[in-house]
Amino acid sequence: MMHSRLQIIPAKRPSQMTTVRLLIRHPMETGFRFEVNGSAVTKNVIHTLTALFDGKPVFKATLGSGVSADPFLEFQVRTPQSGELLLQWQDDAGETGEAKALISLPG
Amino acid sequence: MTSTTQLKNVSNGVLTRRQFVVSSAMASGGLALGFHFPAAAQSNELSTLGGSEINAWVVVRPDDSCVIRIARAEMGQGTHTGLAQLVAEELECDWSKVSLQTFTPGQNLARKRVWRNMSTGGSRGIRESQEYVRQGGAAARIMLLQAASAEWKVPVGELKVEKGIVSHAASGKTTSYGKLAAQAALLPAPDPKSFSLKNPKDWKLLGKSPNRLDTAPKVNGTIKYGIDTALPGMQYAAIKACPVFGGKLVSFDATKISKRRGIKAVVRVDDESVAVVADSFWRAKSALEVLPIKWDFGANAKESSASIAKRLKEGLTSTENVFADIDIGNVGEAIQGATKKIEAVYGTPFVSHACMEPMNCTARVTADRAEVWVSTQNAEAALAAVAAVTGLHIEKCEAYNPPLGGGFGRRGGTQDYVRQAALIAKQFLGTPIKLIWTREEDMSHDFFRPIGQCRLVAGLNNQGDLVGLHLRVSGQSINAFVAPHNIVDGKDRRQLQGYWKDAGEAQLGYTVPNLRVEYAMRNTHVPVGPWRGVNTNQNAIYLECFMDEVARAAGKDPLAFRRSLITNHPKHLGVLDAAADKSGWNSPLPAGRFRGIAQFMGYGSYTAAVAEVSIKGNDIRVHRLVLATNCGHAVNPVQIASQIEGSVAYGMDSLQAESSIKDGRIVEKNFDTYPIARMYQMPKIESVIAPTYDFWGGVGEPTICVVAPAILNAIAAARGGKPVRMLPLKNEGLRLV
Amino acid sequence: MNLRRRLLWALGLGWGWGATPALFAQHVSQEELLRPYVGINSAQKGRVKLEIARLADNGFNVPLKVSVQSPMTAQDHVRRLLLLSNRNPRPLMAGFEFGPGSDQVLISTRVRLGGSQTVYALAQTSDGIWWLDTAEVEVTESACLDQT
Repeated sequence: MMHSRLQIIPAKRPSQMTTVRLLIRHPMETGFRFEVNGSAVTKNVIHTLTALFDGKPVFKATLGSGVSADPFLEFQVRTPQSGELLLQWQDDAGETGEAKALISLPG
Repeated sequence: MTSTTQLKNVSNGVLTRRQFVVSSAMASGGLALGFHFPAAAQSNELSTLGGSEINAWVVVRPDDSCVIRIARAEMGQGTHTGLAQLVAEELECDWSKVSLQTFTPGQNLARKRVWRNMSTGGSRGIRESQEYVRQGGAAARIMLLQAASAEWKVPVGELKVEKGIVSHAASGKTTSYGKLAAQAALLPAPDPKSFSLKNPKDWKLLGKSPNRLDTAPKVNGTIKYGIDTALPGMQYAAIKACPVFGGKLVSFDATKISKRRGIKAVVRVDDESVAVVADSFWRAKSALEVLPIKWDFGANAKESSASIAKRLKEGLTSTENVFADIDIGNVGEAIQGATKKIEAVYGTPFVSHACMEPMNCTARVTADRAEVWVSTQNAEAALAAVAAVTGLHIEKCEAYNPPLGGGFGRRGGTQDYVRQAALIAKQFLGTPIKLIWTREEDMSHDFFRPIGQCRLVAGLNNQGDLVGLHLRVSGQSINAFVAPHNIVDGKDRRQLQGYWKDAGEAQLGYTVPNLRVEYAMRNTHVPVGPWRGVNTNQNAIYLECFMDEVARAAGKDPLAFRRSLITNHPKHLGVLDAAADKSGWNSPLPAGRFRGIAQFMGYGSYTAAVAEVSIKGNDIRVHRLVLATNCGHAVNPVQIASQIEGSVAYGMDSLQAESSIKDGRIVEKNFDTYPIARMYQMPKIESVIAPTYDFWGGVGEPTICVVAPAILNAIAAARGGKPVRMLPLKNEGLRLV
Repeated sequence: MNLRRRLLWALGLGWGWGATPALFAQHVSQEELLRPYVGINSAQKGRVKLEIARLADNGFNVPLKVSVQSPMTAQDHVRRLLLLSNRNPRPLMAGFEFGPGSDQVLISTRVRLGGSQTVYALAQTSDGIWWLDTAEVEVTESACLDQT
């Protein structure tokens, strides 16, 4: 179960964009670190993150060990109408996470 | 003037009146000498101190005095003076009218890093900067000459300049830099590709030993180190981080000390530290001593020197997590078929930097500005740390870097005390907070020289020649701790510094027909980092002490034995011979005295040492130490000798001191249990500077690594051939007197 | 400085005449870094704006912001955006793809930088053209290591 914090700054008008801010608790283990006995610590990073708005894909991120631990991502989504934003991600170990929010536009 | 073969011999000991007078005369005049440190500046403009900035490196004032800008940190190694010499040589100014100016990292950033790298370490100061700072001096000279040329309407080629006086032979006109400066400052900078730098044989200042520009303030006490920072309204902080590395701060009971006089607050600094803030350091420190603190020591609390030694020992013969950096011939067969086999295991402990000036930082944070005053080897790192911790944009932050009371690698890559001070200051917006670590905190929260062991096996043939050598280091990796991504293919070559096959930086000086050099990474929970000389220290001990064991087994003289293996490495041989010659290796010693020799390479320079010791019971007296170094070009020979002498002291620290572990924490917290070299222990040091002028090698670190093995080899000779394999000396019941 | 030494210097290699191979991470040339993505084409400066601090503390957590000017219509949009490092052991740090629901390309994230280097933001627009912005970052805590 991957903990995360999702913050949505909705568009004020349908023609404007909605800002999506996501912070996921994850070590993004690079695979470069070493244990005390000299063995490398197994790599485990969140490799794919997708965002669906109203069921349609709007954004996809491919991440790697070059992204900091507790990955932070902020991006823009067009939200012409209210709807559900669903974010899903997966790491090298096969663990998945998701966060969703209902984006409602005024009026 | 120096020639290609001249050796420079410089002795230490009491400065005779003649030497003093001679060296003072070199400095001469001396009235304009000084330093300009940036005071708390509101703007990012670096002052031109009443003169004209010809280029970023040189300001010339109307009175002909020149201000040279220096980017690196002065931690006693003399880099400020050396860098100034490099500029002044090309500038052709009057050295007696030179003063230095440092600048802040914010000012460097504001000018798009025109002064480039400010980080000081790795014996890089001179060798990394020499070309571009000399170009800076040369460019300024060219612009000043062009100004004279324009004024007199004569070709630049007809002008001569010496000590800042420009002359035109044909017309008899002369002028001086001070008069030309304003015009020169308006001219465009010449393209570095359009001019060349002086040939070293034409050097007038480089290779001489002008007095350092900071010696007087250090002697008369006017110098201000980071720890001397004093700001109006300043409060003091004492800090304690979890004694077990990796542990956490759970809670503390401030009520027990908050009523004490002068106590302002008790603050949680981060996950692992608590600080007391008071109106004096004494009050803060005393209160902190009695503050009830609850720690979660974590799993590392069960680590000890013994548990670590066990892990290192396993690495010596393991087939896991080990790699060969050199594998020539067939070492297994060669040793198997050898007439005589010699095997040994050496061990070196963690050692602490023990800077005389303990870690400290003064920070002042407001809503829109954060500043720190800190002795650091890298002002830009301090600046970046402040910005990161306060969250303020880097342009709103600044770091001021006074001279350091010792760096040795502790104050370079690690700015932990800067972060701590800024975190505390964030809780007292507008109030300067001076954070000082007690000696105990400093010594037990170092980034230690990594612990290691080494297994060496040698095979000799009938003639006593070395036919095979198998060396494996099993120890902690610095890269694995600070920058694991820098380890390529899981092979941390850095830990084999000094054993590298490739020329130029830290090359192994011996040719052995069957040779395997391996490293097994075995880590610990103890934070490690670069300690002056870094891995050349323990690597020189392992190899050079073992070489003596092998020489003894072969029935050969240690110098002759080495010479037979070093023929393909003429520069290694050069310093070995220089040290041996100076020490009179082949002449008999007085009764009771024994010699030891060692040679190694690091930081681009070649070094060798011969030590003379005597032993009485378990007491070792080091009488004499001869050190020879080839650093390529010798910018300031007396300064090099000073660095050599300093490295002897630091090297002798590591013979007798260790930072051991019990219950996951460091045991030795002050100089009573962590003995460092004392005045009475110091030998007579003779430095032989033997530059060959065909490369630029470092000076700050190279010589330290041969100090311990030379002394240890002399001790072994004094004990009838019984080596000291597990440092520190007290493990064999020995001590330096 | 002759050409060979200049080249060695640019590659971050040692101080003497001898090159010290693979002692530490070396900077990759722009051409070599971009080739897997742009192929034989080149990337031009423009449209992309990369904002990242000039000095980074320890390289483990370096914030950056990247934007690409584009109307983001079906006819004219950004296909993908890549963040590359010319020094990290894995040059590709992150890649982003945009669907029709994407608006302005304005992304913030935090990256790991394994030492002082140049960071590249590389974007491909729907017409197949590659656009580029770069930024030099000094990672200061790595500075006391024997190598730069």
